[in-house]
Parts: sequence; structure tokens; C-alpha cells
Amino acid sequence: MKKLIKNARFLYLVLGVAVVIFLTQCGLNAFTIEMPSSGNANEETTFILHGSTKSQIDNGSADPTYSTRLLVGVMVPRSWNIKQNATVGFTSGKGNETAMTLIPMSEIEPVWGVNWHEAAKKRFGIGPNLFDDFEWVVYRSNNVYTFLNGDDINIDVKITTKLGPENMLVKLGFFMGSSKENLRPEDTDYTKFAFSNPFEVKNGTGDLIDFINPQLSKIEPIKSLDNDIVTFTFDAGVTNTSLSNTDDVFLCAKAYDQNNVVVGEVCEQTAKTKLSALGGKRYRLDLWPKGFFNVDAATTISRIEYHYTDATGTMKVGYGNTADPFKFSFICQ
Amino acid sequence: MKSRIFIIFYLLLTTFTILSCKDEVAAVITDESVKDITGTWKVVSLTRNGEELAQRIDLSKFKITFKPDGTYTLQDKLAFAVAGGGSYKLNDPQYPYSVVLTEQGKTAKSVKFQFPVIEGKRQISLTLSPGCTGNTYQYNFVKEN
Repeated sequence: MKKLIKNARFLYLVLGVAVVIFLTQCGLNAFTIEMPSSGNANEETTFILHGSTKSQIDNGSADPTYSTRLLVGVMVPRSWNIKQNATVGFTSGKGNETAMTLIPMSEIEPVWGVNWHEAAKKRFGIGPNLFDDFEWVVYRSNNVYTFLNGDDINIDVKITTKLGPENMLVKLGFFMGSSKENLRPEDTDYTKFAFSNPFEVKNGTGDLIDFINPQLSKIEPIKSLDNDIVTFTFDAGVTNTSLSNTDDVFLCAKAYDQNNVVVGEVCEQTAKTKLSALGGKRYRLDLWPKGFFNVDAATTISRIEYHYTDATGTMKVGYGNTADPFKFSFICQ
Repeated sequence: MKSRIFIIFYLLLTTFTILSCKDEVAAVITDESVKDITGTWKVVSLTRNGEELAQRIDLSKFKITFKPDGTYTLQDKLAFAVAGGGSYKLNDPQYPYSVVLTEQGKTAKSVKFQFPVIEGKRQISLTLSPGCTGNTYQYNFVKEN
């Protein structure tokens, strides 16, 4: 009897190892991204993912098949409103679909316990982009596809979307996966993801929003109003400035209303305006604009202009390390 | 004949027993307490889009007081659903998931409400977007002693 139990344990161990080997030999190959380097604001652009599968399934197993739906995820700036503006389809050796289904917001991804779009953001992040104003959206094939051993097929995913209204420089994110595996963080076989080369949106509104190159100064959330809490970050490591030799960095700012009238100005070197050192010559200040500029509830701050100063207020750093102020508009779209 | 009477008696007894138990269980389940949020509450945690800000911004002065007469007051100002005092109402006294804050002279604002016990202390958790709707703030309050 003991020998039987010992043999059974050994059998389970061998089976377990065999399953692991089988799993690691199945899945998707890394894909490549075909896309232009730029597109016009508010116009459609197409991105194509060239992927393929590797199906090495043990024909001797009880069920020598692998059935699943294709998952495709896309990460773009939130202002593109991709859920309303994109079509995702694919052609493959197993079949074609012109319009995959956007997974409903109400459907929970089982591993992460949040909806699929949030789960994708937790799983893949924002890649090489330096600050966050992105959303992942996840599409699923309408049909289930069954793979046998040796079913190595090519999959070309076509994503067509209208670009957002703003000028920007960004690296987009994409993933391909298998619905059967969900978005398990440890899965590297059935889920492949990649971030694109720089992509520029041209001929749109506003100054260029550069997500990928280090900025001397930035304000987050990039989409905010005067009744949000905003974070100013000054990165003195980007270039040599007149504030490179001090850790005492202060904010000096003017607030304007929609009529371009100055409604508040704070330019003092006190605890209220002092940025906290984050290390690596980076500094940060969080503030609520309405409170910081002490404007009443009826006054709307539409935009601000600002510099960073030293403790004396004589050394000033502005946009592009010049005397011109940095500018920021409070908008949501 | 005697055994039939006994069978009927026991069947009736069992039926009454089960029915009476059902009523007891039902009565216990529906006995949810009315949520009492009166008192002064201070902020212990504030997140913006999931990012904790409590250590980075001075929240010590911002407090909200819910009074038994259905009014509330604010101490200090911050990016919040309302800028001044007014009246409040939970959407459900026993199972609230939102609190309606009506600032004096302004329209009512509904704020997502939770009432969890964290580390042995009752908290009020309010989720709101005072600026862009894409920016979500979660304030967690504990009652001031």
C-alpha cells in the first residue's frame, strides 16, 4: 500500500512537470507594431500588430486542444476617448473579425478583481511614458478559437481610432493575450505586450504635451481644474539651471481668469511655496489652486503662469530654462 | 387509530416549529442598525486617482461636523464636494451608499459614501470629483474624540 502511494506521488510529480513544460511551450510569440510616426489631431489613424502563435500541445493528453478568445489591449491618452472612437479587428489563420467586442466596464477580470481595463493598467502600467494620463482598453474576440498541436498561425490585429484634439508626443501601449489565461501577472507565454516608438499628434490644439522626454516642470493631473489638487514637479536634473546648486526651490505663480485678468498672485519664499526634495534633483509641491491663490468660490482660475525661484527670489527658472514663465491651462478635455 | 393521532400531532408540531424558526431568522437578518454619523470627523487619508496625498498636503485643519439636526459645517477649505456648510442626508438610513450634501443656496451634490471599520475604528469614506470628473478623490475620516 505504501509503495502504491509513493508511486502515485511520483506519477503526480511527473505529470506536474510535464504540464509545466507543455504550458511553457504554448502561447503567443512577441508581436511587432506597424504604425506611422505621426497623425493629425481629430483624424483616424491605423495601428497594426503582427503576431503569431506557437501551439505545442501533447496529442497524448486527454484533451489535446486549447480553446480561447483573443484579447487585444490598447493604451492611449484618455483625451482620445478611444472607447467611443476605435474599431479593433483581426485577420488570422483561424478566422477573421472586423469588430472585436469592447469588454464591458461592469465585467470583472478574475485575477485583479477590477474591470478588465483597470486590470490591464495595473498589469502593464504606462511603460516608458513619464507621467500618467492614459487608459488601457481591452477588446475580446467574438468567437472562440480552438488550437491543435502545430496550429502555428499568424494574427494581424488592426486598430483604427480617431486621434484626440491635442498636440502631443507619446508612446502607445498594446497587448495580445488569451482570454483563458486572464491577465495573470506572472504569465509571459500567453500574453505579450509592447510600447510603440514615439508617436506625435500634430495640427491640434495647445502646446505640445510631451509624455516621453523629461520635462523641466510638469503639473499633474494634466487634466485638472482649479478645484483639483495639482502637483508641481521641478526636475533640475534635466538641464543645468540657475537653481542647480540649491535644494531650496520655491514656486512663484500668477492665476488668470477666463478674461485673462490676474485674479491671484503668490510669489513668496515661505513654507507655502517651498517644494519638497524628492532626491535626484527633483522637487514637488501639491496644492489646491483655489486655496493657494485665495480666490472665492465664484472665481474661476482658467490658467496659471509660473516660475521656480531660489530662497532670495532673485534666481528664476521658467519655460525651457528661460525667463519666460511656464504656462498651464485648467481644462478637462 | 391512536398511532394516527400521534402522527398528525407530531406533523403539526414539526410544522409549527419550522415556521416559528423561520420568523426568528428573518427578524434577525433585517435588524440592521441605523447609521449614526453625527460628530466631528477629521481626515486620515486622502487619495487622488489612487495616489496617497495625506503626507504631502496639510489636512489637519480640514474637518466636517455632521449635526443631529441634519446640518453640517466645514472647518477650513479644501478640494471637496462643497465649499461651505448646509444640510446632509444619507440616501438610506440603514444601508447608505451615498450622502447628499446641499450647501446653502446651492444645488445638492451626491457623494459616494462608505462606513467601514478600519483597525477597530469606524471611518467615513467619501469619494468625489470636485474638479475634472476624471480625477477621483477618496477622503477617509475618523471621528474626533
